[in-house]
Amino acid sequence: MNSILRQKQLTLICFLFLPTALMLMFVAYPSLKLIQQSFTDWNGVSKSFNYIGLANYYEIFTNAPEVWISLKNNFVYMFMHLASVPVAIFIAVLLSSKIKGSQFFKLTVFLPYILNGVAVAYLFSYFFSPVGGTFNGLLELFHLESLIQGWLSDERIVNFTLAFVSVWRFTGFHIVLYVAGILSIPSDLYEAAELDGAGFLQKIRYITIPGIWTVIQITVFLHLNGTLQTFDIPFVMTNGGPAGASSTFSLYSIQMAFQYNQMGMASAMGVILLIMIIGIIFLQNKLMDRKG
Amino acid sequence: MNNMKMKRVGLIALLTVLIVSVLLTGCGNGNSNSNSNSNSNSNSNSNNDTNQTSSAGANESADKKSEAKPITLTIHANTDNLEKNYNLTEVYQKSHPNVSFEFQISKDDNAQGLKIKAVADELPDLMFLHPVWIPGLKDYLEPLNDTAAYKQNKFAKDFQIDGKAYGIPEFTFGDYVYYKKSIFKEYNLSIPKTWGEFLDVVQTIKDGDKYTPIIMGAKSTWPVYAFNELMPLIVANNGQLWNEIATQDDPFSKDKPFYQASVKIKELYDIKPFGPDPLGISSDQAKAMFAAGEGAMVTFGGWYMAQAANLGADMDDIGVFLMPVRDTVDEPYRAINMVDWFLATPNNGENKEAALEFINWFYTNQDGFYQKVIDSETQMSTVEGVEPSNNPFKDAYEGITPEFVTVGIVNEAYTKLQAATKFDSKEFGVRMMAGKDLDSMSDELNEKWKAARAKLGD
Repeated sequence: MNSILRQKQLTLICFLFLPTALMLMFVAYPSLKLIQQSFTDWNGVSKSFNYIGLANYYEIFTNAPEVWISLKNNFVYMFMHLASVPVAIFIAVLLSSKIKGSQFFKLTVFLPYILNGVAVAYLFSYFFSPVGGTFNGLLELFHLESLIQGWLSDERIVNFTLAFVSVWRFTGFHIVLYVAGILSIPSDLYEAAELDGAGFLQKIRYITIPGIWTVIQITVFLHLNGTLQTFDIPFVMTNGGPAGASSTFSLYSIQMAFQYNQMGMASAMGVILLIMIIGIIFLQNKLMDRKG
Repeated sequence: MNNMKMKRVGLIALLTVLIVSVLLTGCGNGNSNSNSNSNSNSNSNSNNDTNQTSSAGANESADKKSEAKPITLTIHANTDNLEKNYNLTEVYQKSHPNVSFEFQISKDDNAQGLKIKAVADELPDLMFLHPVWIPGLKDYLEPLNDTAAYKQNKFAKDFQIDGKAYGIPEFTFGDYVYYKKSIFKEYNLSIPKTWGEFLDVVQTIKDGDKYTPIIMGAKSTWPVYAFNELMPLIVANNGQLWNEIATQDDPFSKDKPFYQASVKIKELYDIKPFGPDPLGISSDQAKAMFAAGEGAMVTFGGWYMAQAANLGADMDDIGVFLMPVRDTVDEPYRAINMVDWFLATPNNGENKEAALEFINWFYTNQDGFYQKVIDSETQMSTVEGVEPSNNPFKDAYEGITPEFVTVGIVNEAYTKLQAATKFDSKEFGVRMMAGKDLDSMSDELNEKWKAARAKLGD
């Protein structure tokens, strides 16, 4: 028995050694360094720095309106992503049913997710371009010129444009998760409901959604986490412009680090983002947790 | 049974050690093998996602130096045209057969990759730097005051920091308005000689409703530099204006050059000369649009002439003039002169001697290489005794005697204040273009600037 236990332990150690080492090297150590740097005035280049206590955090909360404007932009992404959840569930319900070509449609909705993110952002840069852009061209084709806007230059709508690109890119992945969840619900529940006279929407409300509630919790977490860390789409498409109107928290922290040479402040922003994500996930669990 | 168990345990342990050692080897420093002619991936540890590398092939010669240890000099630049267009390796190996080059290309405006490499002690052997990057990186750069390259350079001494020249500039160039001769002819326009005349030209083209007066790629932010970054220097007649601003509490007030220049710029922006959506067009789009025949004018440095030709522009239809900032013809015609792309080497580089050797070779025009580069790039020379064979910008100086304001290097005081206030003249310009009020932006900046100066104790 002892030797079996020892063998099990040895196997466990051997297999866990590598992922643990990688986690320590690429997650734990950088996180600790991030926290350390957040208490310094390091400019990211010089060979020395000074510890300045909570000065960076104080500056962020009292004298950095651009930080909160960029966070507000993140909330636009969050709102649009969360609004896409019911739509994604509805599409997943349709794709789970026996419709012709469902496999093809599943592939089509998943395709944006597997495309390279930077390529997608470049693609949409040209799609929304005011000169020779496809979207404006389509509007002109259907005599809807009056709807043409500065999709990437009007600060009132640029964040919605970018959030649309983000929703386009990631919704397919969530639909596939919902489909997998729906397919795991026993079909006899639906049959019993049908016998009891339940309609399409009632079946979704009382069987599908409770059945995939765990999947919904996971996707909501992915939405919240992902939207708070949005970087690639605004970076490539607008670089946070015009004049910071589409800057996000992550993008602004990169600019803080490398454009304004304030690595300490950027690190403090990183720590604040980490705390926000933990807080929001905690809140999400409280609101969405179901027992029984 | 016990033997089988021991074998299994041993196999697992061996596999683990093998995987870990492979990973650790892969994570270690790697130097690329330069013995290939095609574009191959570098093994350097750069973390910058925008970097791409190309390596040049080694060409063995019978020279006695071929017995020396082979060296690959890594060069950080925004283009590898020195190799692609001028065969740098082939030319250099005539005298240095053991040396080859590997280019690390980056179009990053903030030197993000270089800053990361500096901290990681992995700077490339040679770097072409914008002058604004040098103060931040100077602790890692070798002073070049004792080199032949420095002694033969017209501008290097003007860009010293604390008496040390950390880079040797490659080019000097003016900032020009490129215009379409055919459009000017169509509207019977002559080259403007004052700011008022320039506004009239722009208005005339705008009223014609046929062409965009000025193509502007404001989505990339930096193209507004011709107005919001350079015009204050011309108005102040001071290439070190930013350093002077660092000594003032209210540099954005109405009586100061920055505001006075901004008022002129606002007159131009109020005409809306950049088309319906300049904030939606990138700099690359703007360059291509003008070269393709769209728009009447575009503002770029002398470096755009060669780019326009490469983009297929009808060069016979393109003329240049210097932006006239003066109000009357009785005032001096001041214009910007820029000095850029400072070649530097790290102070603890592995190949420092070879890098310094190259810097001297390049900037003393050995093998006529530097002459060939400035002639083809349509740039002006920074090297004494080397002048371009032809000057494609001579038309811009016809009938005028410009007084040049050379853009200087910013000092640490300004850099700190800029970081503390998040001031960027180009971002300021984009905000103006987006319709933000000039007076309120200036007042807000003054407040931030004063508070930052008080806090930094300057």
